[in-house]
Amino acid sequence: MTDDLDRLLLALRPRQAELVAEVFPPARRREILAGAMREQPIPAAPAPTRRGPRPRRRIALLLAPVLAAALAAVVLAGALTGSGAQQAAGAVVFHRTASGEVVAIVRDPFVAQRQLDLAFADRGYRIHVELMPVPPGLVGRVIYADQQSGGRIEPLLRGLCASGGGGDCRTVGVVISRSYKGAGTIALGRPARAGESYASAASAFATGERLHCSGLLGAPAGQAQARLRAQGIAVEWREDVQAGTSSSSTSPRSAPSGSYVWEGVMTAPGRVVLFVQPRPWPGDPAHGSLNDRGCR
Amino acid sequence: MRPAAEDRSFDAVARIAFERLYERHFDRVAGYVLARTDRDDAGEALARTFEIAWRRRAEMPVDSLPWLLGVARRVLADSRRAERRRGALIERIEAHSRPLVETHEDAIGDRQAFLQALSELTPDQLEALLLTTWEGLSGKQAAAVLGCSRGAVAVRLHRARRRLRDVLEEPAAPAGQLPRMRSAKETT
Repeated sequence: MTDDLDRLLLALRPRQAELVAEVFPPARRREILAGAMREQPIPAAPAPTRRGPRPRRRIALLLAPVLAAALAAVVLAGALTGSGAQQAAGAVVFHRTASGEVVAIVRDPFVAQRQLDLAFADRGYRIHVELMPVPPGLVGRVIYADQQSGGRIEPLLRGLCASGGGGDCRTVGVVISRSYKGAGTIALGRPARAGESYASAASAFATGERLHCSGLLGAPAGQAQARLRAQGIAVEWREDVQAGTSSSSTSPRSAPSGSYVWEGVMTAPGRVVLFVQPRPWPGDPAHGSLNDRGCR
Repeated sequence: MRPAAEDRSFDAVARIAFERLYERHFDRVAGYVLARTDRDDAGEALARTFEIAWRRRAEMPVDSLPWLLGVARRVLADSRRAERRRGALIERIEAHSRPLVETHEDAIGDRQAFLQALSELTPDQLEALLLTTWEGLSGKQAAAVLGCSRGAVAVRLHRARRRLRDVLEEPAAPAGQLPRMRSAKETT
């Protein structure tokens, strides 16, 4: 009787696959995923807690490059045309724009932390700017931030080069709003030294990153290993394992045979984590829409 | 004062891992939700489910599907229309399920009688039954979805099967009439 009951129940199961495909086409799926991950864009770590009774505001701007770039452009225009008197303060150069915002540019991304803190303290700011090694695409971007209400500090991103060279150089700096009075911490990405691990990471196949347009996205794992080895890049493998309804990730020591590269993350200048699956890369923009953009 | 460097280090890895988890389980979670609500509300429920999953992914166990289904179940239950949805589950099964093959009809009775039998179960019993048959979950996994012990799932399954047998052995209700579902308070 039990077997019959189970068979009958299974026979009554709605046609899930067809219904799901109909109600949630690829565009809708991507929309739901983007919406879910839009919340707390830098959530890997718990929100930093700091001493003091006043409520603190944690900002997370890693995924707001358009807004930040627009802000940087506005600030740059103000710096160049306004009354901004440039003052060198050791490790940091400060500009005041016509609108009253202060642009602080770190001249040396490898400067000692104490010098940075002193530079901001000299200007009367209780701002702790921390520089963290990141892959090229994240240089100048915010890794995390924690600040009090009452004004804001924002990343400068790029658009203004401390060396005056302009062009493609990426400036590490912040924009401090006119009304900013509180204390805060902001961690920005800086280039990594040889041998340093990245404190944050983007897809290795994203624009500006090491494997962008490398042709390795979707390549057989063995082929990818050989090519990366030739480039002096060490590979750490992650492979999905599906067993019934359970799935987990394993870390094979070498390239899993019969698997293909689906994603990658540079964890240091010469080290990458490659995610592989035992089925070919679908080449579908839904699977990593920013990966290898503009390569084909 | 600030998060440890190693905690901050792999935000991108976390994103990629979540995207892969999403790809792996979307169909199952979407199927679960669509079986329990109408398509207009399913999108909202799914969006909320994966939003919670992203925010609380640090709590997600390796066996992530039951955890996700549990989140989806709570999202649906939180809805103001949850009661109406639950009552419509049997009708939804009837509307979307495949026709029963003849051998099953011979063995257990006709489709209407079986749907009637299902409607006699309490919501908890029905949920335990569907999780273990439709979703193929183990008792432990079903317990994770339902937020109860494995023993409680075993009891619900046992009672559900006994009730199904009892109802199926009774004369079938007139065609087109489905008895109301029992509430959770009536029987556990």
